[in-house]
This record gives sequence, C-alpha cells and structure tokens, in this order.
Amino acid sequence: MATPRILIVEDEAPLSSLLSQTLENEGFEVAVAHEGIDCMNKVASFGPDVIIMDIMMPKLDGVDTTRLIRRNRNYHNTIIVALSAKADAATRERMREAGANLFMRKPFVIRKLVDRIKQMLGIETTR
Amino acid sequence: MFWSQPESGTRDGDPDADFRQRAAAKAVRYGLSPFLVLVAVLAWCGNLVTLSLGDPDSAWWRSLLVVWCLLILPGLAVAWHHRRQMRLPAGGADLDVLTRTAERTDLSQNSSEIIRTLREEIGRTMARQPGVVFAATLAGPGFHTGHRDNAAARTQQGSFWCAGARAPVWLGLSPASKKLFDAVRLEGERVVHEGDGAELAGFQIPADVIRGCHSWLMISAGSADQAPLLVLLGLRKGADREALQTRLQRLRTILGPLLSIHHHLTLTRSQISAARAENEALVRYNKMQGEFVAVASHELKTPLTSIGAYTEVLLQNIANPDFTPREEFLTIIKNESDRLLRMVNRILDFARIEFSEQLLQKELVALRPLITDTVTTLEPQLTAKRQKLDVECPDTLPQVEVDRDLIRQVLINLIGNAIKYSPQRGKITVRACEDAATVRIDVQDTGPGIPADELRSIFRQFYRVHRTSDSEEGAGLGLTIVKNIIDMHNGHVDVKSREDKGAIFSCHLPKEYVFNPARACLLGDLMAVKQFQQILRLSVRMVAELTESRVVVFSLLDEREENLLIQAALGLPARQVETARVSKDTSYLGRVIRSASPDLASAAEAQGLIAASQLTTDADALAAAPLVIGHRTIGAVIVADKMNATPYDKDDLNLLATLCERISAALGAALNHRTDSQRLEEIVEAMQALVKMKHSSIPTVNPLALRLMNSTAGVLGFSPAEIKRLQYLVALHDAGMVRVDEDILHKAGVLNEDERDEVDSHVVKGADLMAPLLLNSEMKEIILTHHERMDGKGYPDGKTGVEIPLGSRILAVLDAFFAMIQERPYRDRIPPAEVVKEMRRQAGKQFDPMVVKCFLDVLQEEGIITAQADTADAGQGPDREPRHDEEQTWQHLES
Repeated sequence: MATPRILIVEDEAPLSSLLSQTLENEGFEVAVAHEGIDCMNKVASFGPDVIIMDIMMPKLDGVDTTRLIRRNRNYHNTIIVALSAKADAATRERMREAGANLFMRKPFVIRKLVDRIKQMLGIETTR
Repeated sequence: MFWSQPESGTRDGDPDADFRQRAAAKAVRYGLSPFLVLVAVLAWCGNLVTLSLGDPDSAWWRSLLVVWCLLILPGLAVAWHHRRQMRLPAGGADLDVLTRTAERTDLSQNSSEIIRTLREEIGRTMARQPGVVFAATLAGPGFHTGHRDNAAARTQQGSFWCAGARAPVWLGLSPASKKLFDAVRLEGERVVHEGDGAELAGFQIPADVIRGCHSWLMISAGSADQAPLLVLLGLRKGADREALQTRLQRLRTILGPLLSIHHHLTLTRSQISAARAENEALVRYNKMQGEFVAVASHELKTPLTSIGAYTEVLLQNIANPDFTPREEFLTIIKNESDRLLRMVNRILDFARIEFSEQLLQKELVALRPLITDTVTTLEPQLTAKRQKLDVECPDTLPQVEVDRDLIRQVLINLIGNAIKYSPQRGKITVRACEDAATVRIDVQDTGPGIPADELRSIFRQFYRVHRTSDSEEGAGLGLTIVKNIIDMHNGHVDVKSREDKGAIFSCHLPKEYVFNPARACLLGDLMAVKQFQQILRLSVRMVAELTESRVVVFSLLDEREENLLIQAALGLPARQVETARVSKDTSYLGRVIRSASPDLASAAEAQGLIAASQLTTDADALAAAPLVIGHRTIGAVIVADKMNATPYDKDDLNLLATLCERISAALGAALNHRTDSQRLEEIVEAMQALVKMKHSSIPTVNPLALRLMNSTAGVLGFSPAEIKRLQYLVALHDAGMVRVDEDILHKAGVLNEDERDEVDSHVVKGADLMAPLLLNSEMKEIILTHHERMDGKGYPDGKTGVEIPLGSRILAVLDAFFAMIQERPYRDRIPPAEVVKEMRRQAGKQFDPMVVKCFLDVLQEEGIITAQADTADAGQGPDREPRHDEEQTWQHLES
C-alpha cells in the first residue's frame, strides 16, 4: 500500500507545523492548508486519505468545508477528523452531520490523535 | 367598531335611524306608554268603525264618537313625548351607551378603546341637543398640540362636532388653552357666561362657530391627576344650560369610576411594558456575556493547544538524544504563553472599559505629547521590525477634552496593529489634524489592507481579518476596545482600506464646544433645559460638519432684541464666548437679522466677533443665516474658517440657510413643547439622526443637491416658497436610514428579502423620526412617498402617477441620480452616459417622464453632463470609456 496522505487544515501555524512534523515522522505524507478554501484546493491536488480539520477558521469554516468535501462523490471515503476548542454538543452534532468521522477536543494529546488515525486507516485497509 | 352590531347596523348609512331605533326601543321599556299607545290605536279603529257603520243622526252615536276621541288623546300625548325624545334623548340614552359598551368589551384589553368610543358617542349626542352649537371632547392624560396630520394624535386628542359638521375634527391646544383645561380639570366644571371666545382661541375651533356661541360650558370627568375626559359645549343664546349641566354632571358620576379604572389599567400596562423592556435588555446583555465567555474561552484555548502539543512531544523525547529541535520547541512554547498572557490582559482591559463608562475622567489634553509618548513606549516593537514611524501633528491643533489614559490605550491598540500588520521596514504614519467639528487622529499602515467585505466587521469582538500564513497573534479585541473608547467620547471611528494598499484608521474626537448658559437671551430660562442644550450642541455640530467650517457661532438676540449674544460656539475661545456682544444695529449680523436673509461678509466685518487670525481669507470669509421661528427672527448662525481655506460662495450660503431652517424648526418645536419632556426627547432624537447620517456615510445634504433641486423645481413651476420647502427636505427624507441595521446598509452583494424590507422601512421610520422637524403635512407625505414609483411598484403603499406628490417625484429622481454616481459596496460608479440612459429607461416606470426631462436639462445646463452624454443611446455600449472631462466632473461630484 502507498504511503497514506494526510491533509492538515489548521489556521494556527505553530500547531500545524508540529502536527505535520509528527505525522511525517510517523511515516505519512503530509500537506497543510490554512483555511477552508485553501483546503478545497489541496484536497483536489493532493488527494488525502485523512483530513485533520480545524473548525473555527476565517472565511470558510470547518463545518462548511467538510460539507463541501462530502458533496463530492470521490471523497466519500476520505477520513475527516474534526479538531476544535469549541466542543459543545451543538458543534459536535453539526460536525457529525456535515460528515466528520471523528471529533477531538482541543487541547488534545498528539499521541492519541496519531493512534486513532492509524487505527482508522487500518480498518480502512483491511476492508 | 363597537356599534356596528346587527341592531345598530344602519348607523353607518344614517346615524339618525339608529338613534330613532334606540328611542323607540326605550319607549317600549317605559311600561305605561305602549298601553296608552295601544288604547289610542284601538280607539282610532273604533272611531273608524263607528263612522262607517253608525247613524249620524242618533245622539248615542255622537257621544260614542266623543268617547273614542277622548281615548285617542293620551296616546297622542305619549307619542308626542316620544317624538320629542327622539330629538332629545334623555339621560337613559347615555346610560344605554355605557351599559352596552361595558357588556361588549373586555375591560382589561380595551379600556382606551372604550374611552374613545364613549367620548365619540357623548360628543355626538351632546351636539344634537337643542341650543348646542358644538360639542368637543378630549380624553387622555396629556394634551399636547401636535401636527394636524398626525393620525394617531387625532384619535387621542379629541373630537369636535358641530351642527353642520358631524365628522370628527382635530382639536389643538395652545399653552393658554391648556392652562384653561388644567383649571377645569381641577375645578370639575366651568361656565363661561358671555365672552368673545378668546379663552377658546387655542382650541382651533373655526371662528364662525365661535361667533355663533353665546356661552360655553366645560366639564371634566375623572379626577385631575388621572386621565380625565373633558367635554366642552358651545351654547346658543337662550339654551337651557342648567338642564345640560345636570345631564353632564350625571354623566360624570357614571364615568368617574370607569375613567379611574382606565387610568390604573393604563398605568399598569405601561409598567408591565417597561418591565418587559428592561427584562429583554437584561436577557440580551446576558446572552452577549454568554457569547463573550464562549468566544473568549475558545480564543484562550488556541495558544494552550499549541503549548500542550509541544510539551507532549518534548516529554516523549525527553530521553531521546537524537531529538534536536528542543530549543525551537521551547521557544514556541514561550511565545505561545506570552501570547496567552497578552490575550488575558486584553480581555481584562476590555472588561474594564466595558463596565467603567461612568468613570470617564475628562480633561483638556494636547494630543501631540500624548502621541509622541505613546510612540516611545512602542519603540522596541518598531525597532524589532525595523519599521519607520512618522508623527504629523500641527502646532495649531486645538486641545481635546478626553480621558488621557483611555486615549493612550486607543493609540497603543491602533499603532500596535499597524506595527503588527506592516511588513519589515514598513512605514507607519500617525497624523493628527483638525476637521470641522472634530479632531482626527489617523493611523496609517503599509500592511496587506482589509478586504472590502470585512471592513464593517473588524470592530466586532474577537473578529480577526483573515490571517496570512505567518499567523498574527491577537485576541481580536483591540479594535473593539478602540471603538468603545471613542464612542464613549461621543466620537466615531472609521477605516479606509484597499487590499494590498494598507489601511487608515481614523478616530474622530469632538472638538471643545463652548456653551454659555448664563446669558439672558430671547429664549430666557429655556437654555437651562437639558434638551435645549442638546439641540444646540447637535445644531452646531451639524452646521460645522456639513458646511465644513472650523468656526461655528450660534447667537441669539437678547431680551430687548438689541444685541446679539453668543450662546454656543465651536472653535472659539471660551472667554470670547462669554464676553462678545454685538449690536444689532451696526454689525454685519444686524444686516442678516434685519433682512432675515442669509448673507456673506468680509474679514473686516467680523471684528469683535471672530479674531482675524482665525480667518483664512479676506473677502467672503464669513457666512451667516438667520434663525426664524414663525415670523420672528431670534438669532443667527455664523460660520467661518472653511476647511479648504477658500471663501464662502452662494452654494455654501444656500446650504447654511437650509440647515438654519432645520435648526429653527427644531427650536420652534421645542419651544412649543417646552414642558413635555417626551416631545423634547423626540426633537433631540431627530437632530441626532441628522448628525449621525454624516457619520454613517448616508448621503447628506450637499450644495449641489440643493442647487439641482432648486433648478428642477423652478422649471417645473414651483414658487420660491415651495422650492424652499423642497430644499428643506433634501437629505432629510432619508434620515430613516440611521435606523436601518448598519451591516445591511453596507452589505456587499444582493440583499435578501428580509434585508430588503429592513432597508425599505427607512421611509416610514424617517417620516416618524423627522416628524418634529417637519413644518406641515405635505412634507411628511413627501417623505412617505419618495420611494413610490410611477408604475405603482414602489413602496410602502404602491401609489401610482399623480397620487405621488410632484415634490416626491423630483426627490426620487434626485436620489437616483446621486445613488448612481456614487460607488456602492456592491457595484462601481456608473458612467454618466449610463446614468442618463437608465433615467430615460425608467421614465414612466420608476420616474415621472416630465421630471426626468427637466432634470436632465438642468444637468446639461449645469455642465454636469454633456449634450453628447444626454443623447447617448444604443450606439454607445456600456463599455464605452467615459471621456476624460466627464470622469473629472464625476470625481468632483463624488468628493
């Protein structure tokens, strides 16, 4: 199997750079987008297997971006992991409806995130 | 309607029919009457039978006839009595009205409606009594004179019936007649035996009606402090006054309790609605706080997330000798925790400012040292980014009355932002300068600029303009704090920016305004009334900003009408305001006052009023216009020191005259309602709206608009007086815009239906808001119809063609013209040829073709469009490049 590709959508530069370094060390191929519209472009050009999506972003927010991605049939199987500091029930529900597979609250433990992604990809590959 | 019930359904067609019906119904209730009538009818029948069957020669037959006749007589008498009753209903009729009203109405819901109906009914009934010339009724806690055309006031204020005119007529009350009515309210009743009707002069009862009266009778029901009902009867000579008085007194006993209940219900209702409003405000505030906490906690979590994540990685690699970026990671953690600290500070600042509005400590502050001081504290950040900061601040800049610490905070936030967003080695400029009514501080950066669609949002809490990838830190509170502080100083903030061209943030702080309440002027002790002072302050500000003058002097005649005293001023030293006294006979101002017309003057003529050093030109250095209430000149407004140091011209004078008419209208209205604080507040609000228009970039009155209105209305045959009225309405008619949500007003892109409705509502809002400043009902009508279209597709009423006043049709064209030549958030400026074409296209649809034609002629005469543009048609497509000179004219118009 080819190296899994991960797209990080995050407007906080320190966080996105740390995430991308960590995930690269784990052996993934990583790209970073800074907000929703940027993300839409990168999804098309980069073709990620997993998208790590921040919710509160300028212009197009995480919920709308997820909804737009899911509208395209090609990305129905892409794993979308939502990350947000705003983690009330309503936001979780909106994100779930938009089509996110997993919701993680900020601040989060990187190890756990990486484990969950691996686990999900494992499930994906065995199917 | 209460009385349009089945049994009284005929009332609308013939009021008397219902009346007779009720009289007949009452006759039935009078036990004996039907019996007697029955006897009479039977006797009549017997008579007929006897006549046809009997023998005319027998004595028995003749006596029977006499008996029948005797039996008929009481019946006839009863019928005669009832006939009288039909014309003259007894007290029973009034009781009927009461009982039926009470039965049919839910008292708790409709007490005002009941009172109104009762009032109408009593007036109607009393006007029909013999000897009564007219009857007038009033109800309600306060009787203010209002505009004749104010429908709401009409139903509240009173009705008037006269023998000839049954329809209710509005009744006005002058201060004198209000005094009379107050006396009646206290005394209960009053009879004016004979007189010329002078006491009633203020009621606006037609003079011929007054002449027909011999005496007057006034009676009040309900106690003086509660909402009373007042009845005023005008009586002919020889009228049975005492009988009428007794009837009214009886009415009063019946109505007393009802009025008392009504009064308490009204009181309770207003208390309930006040409590509800307060509650809503609290809920809203609570919600705002909730949102603040939610967003704040999110913002705080953001740096925490980074700190957590980096620490986690560091910990995992604590024993890993190959892990190299330790230092880099620790730096990031340090930066992020610094950022967190800054954000916490900002939130604390915000909370402090948000809740400390009362604690504003104002003092006279020179801006130059304040700015340089602040810049020094920011020096480290500037050197770190190797940026250059210029301070431009003229020595002549007047001091401003502000809270020093808060303005320092404003400067720190704005300059801090400029440093943050400007690139390395970028240039920042802090400029302070004097505007007409304000002192302006500009902070200009050379950063990426702010996208047009985000310009309006940046002052919101936690709003951050879309960040570039190098991620600027901040809580998104800095600008909110700036806006709050400047708002607290009665100033305003705005921002100009083009993407990639940097941004200019401007704070406008009001200049020191000198008010001199101690002088004995024509308006006397009124100057002590808070609202009067507010009107004055707003007037001065409006004149300064619209005529772009640095000096505005508001002067009023003294009590003997000999000298002019400076009452308020902008741009003059306080000492001068206190001492200046200008004789009406000698000075230039005297000329303005005597002729009651605006005029210009040279610098030499300003002596004793404005120091020569403050005047920038020699000839036409001043402009002044009189303040006229009714036909009496009470003072004048003088402007001097025009912004661009040019002399005043005719257009400026025209503009000033129009503004003075607004001020006169406001002062006149305030004078009429000096004791009614609610009405005074309404007037202040109207003036505030006019000042706010300028700051919300709603088109305000400008000399060109006045000139175009003048010429167009002149061509269309309006008289000079009518043209003056129309000019008065220019820009006033759009004042309702200040009540429209600003976000919608400046939205880029097409509005949805709700937003459209919101914008459309400015028509009605404007008519209401400006009501205190309108001189007659036609003006209100024009405001209400200025968005109607010839084809009936306009709003709010969808009137067509000539239903729309001609003045309104001119305003519609004028408005459209100025709208098209200006850039809007959702489109660019429209080239001249296109404007002309569009106007032609809309002639007969949106516009009156006649008005369009005249207007285009006027534009051509003014040289604003060329003959070529005027005849532009299909040959010149929309992409035609505007000719150079056209483009120039356009830019000139825009500025």
